[in-house]
Amino acid sequence: MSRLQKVARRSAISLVVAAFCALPCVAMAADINFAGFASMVYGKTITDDDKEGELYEMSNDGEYSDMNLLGLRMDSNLRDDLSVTVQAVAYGKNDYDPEFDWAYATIELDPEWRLSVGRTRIPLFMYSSFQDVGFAYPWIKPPFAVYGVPQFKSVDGAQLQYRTNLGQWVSNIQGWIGNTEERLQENNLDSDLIMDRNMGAAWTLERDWLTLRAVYMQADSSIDLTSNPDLAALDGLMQMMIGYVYDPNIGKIPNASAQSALIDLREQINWEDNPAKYYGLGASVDFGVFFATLEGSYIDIEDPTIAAPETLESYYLMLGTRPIQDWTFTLTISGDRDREHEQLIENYDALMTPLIANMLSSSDAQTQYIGSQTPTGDEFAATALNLQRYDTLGYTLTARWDFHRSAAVKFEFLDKMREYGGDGNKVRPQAFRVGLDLVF
Amino acid sequence: MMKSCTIFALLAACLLCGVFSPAYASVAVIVHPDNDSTLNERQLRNIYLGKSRVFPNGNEATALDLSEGQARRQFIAKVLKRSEANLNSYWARMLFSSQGQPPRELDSEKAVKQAVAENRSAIGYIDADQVDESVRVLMTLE
Repeated sequence: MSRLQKVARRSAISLVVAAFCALPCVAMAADINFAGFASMVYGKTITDDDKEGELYEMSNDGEYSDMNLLGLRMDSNLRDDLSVTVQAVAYGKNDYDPEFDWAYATIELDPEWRLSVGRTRIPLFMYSSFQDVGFAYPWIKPPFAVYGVPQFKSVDGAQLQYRTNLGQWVSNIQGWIGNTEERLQENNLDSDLIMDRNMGAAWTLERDWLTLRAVYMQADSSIDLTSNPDLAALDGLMQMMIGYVYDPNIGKIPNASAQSALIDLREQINWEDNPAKYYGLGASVDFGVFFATLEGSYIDIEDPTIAAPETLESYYLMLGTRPIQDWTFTLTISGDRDREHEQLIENYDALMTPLIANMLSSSDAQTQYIGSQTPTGDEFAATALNLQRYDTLGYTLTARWDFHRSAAVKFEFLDKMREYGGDGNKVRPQAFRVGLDLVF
Repeated sequence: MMKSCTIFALLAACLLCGVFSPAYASVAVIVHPDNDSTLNERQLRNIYLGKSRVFPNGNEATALDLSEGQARRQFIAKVLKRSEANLNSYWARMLFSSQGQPPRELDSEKAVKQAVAENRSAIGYIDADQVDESVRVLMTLE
């Protein structure tokens, strides 16, 4: 048995075991439905100037497992109006350890109102709720500019849905409230993203060939930045300075008044309970042979933090055609614009530049050393820009062939222009990938 | 040469007009005899795509599908206005986002007719020739 087969078998077994362990009571219920999905993707970048991770999980060496995934879903109707659902996904990039995206009980209050309690996917954008189900959309993965930015998927809490007919329109409103905790692995960070008081609502209106959508979400987000070695070093230095550096000639550095400003600055740099607001708008038209989708999002992170921009705007426009049976071709243009926290950079410079100068002029060797190690205003600005500013513009061409009722093959070419850390730092990675999507 | 071109053009025109297409039977959309609802094509489509779970009079609607056959192909093309591939993708989206499950599929038109005759909330479709007094015809698709 090959390694891949072993992994696949192990994952399938652990998914099933996990699904059953999570809700043992449903095993006794009469009506249980299983469904699943899987994606197998091979991708390779074809440009020389790409860095590791510039274009999703692909590299020049070719990646055949990091984008693979396997999902299993179990729906159990305990009564006519009460059901339990569990959905787990095993990701290749996480060595196929299953994660629960959905685990909730739903009560149908009437045919129009539904209340779900437990873990549900946040319907932030049009494709968010089924973002892992490749068979359900034209691309191999949804546009990263919009779908890759929010590093969270599910909320633990309650979700209320109201679906009704408004004249000739079908209206679907989903509101949610709860908390979110997800592992964040980006920008050399490897820590939990915690979103407290996460609440929001999405409203979708559909009529024949037209779908319109609006969403709003807010949450207090926190991330432990000290899992990034550079940010940990900066935080360590600031803590040391907050604890006073003492020079016999100058006295305490910083002095008492500067010390409280330093405590404030450290709080600003760190990512703790920062209120974030998400806004999204979407529209989609489908005339059968031709179809198109446009989505845009705006994220506003209120308090400064070194690891997040002040605002993120992202969008994509997908134009598609189904000229012959079983084939779909799409062209997607996507982009994002991040704006840095300039105030944070100014605050740092204003406070730290005189402090560093004081420390460097000290006769005490230890104080001088700390001064030399503390990032200057320019160095801090460069770090912040690198972490906060990524402007991208990308093109994606995808061909999808539905060769079976529950299987599709996709071929995709990606071209992305990315500018980071202000002017001058540009990369333009390009990649090919081929994927097989299944539902069962 | 001219003559063969004319014949070819006529043949092409006949094909385009569907002269050589097989004759399709009518498809009847059926409900329980006690169900006095009326539906237009849009409302029917919304029920079959899981976007609406009620008849216009507010009563619950449970859609029943055929697993294969001419009536199914006609229904998908005329009412749902989607290709089979597009419909499969649509249901994957609905199912895995917890928005709905595809209608229960039955193997034969006889089974659909029987299920509709026994369930006041059911709605189904069968070849119009198969209709009898056990069900009420809501709409006929030519």
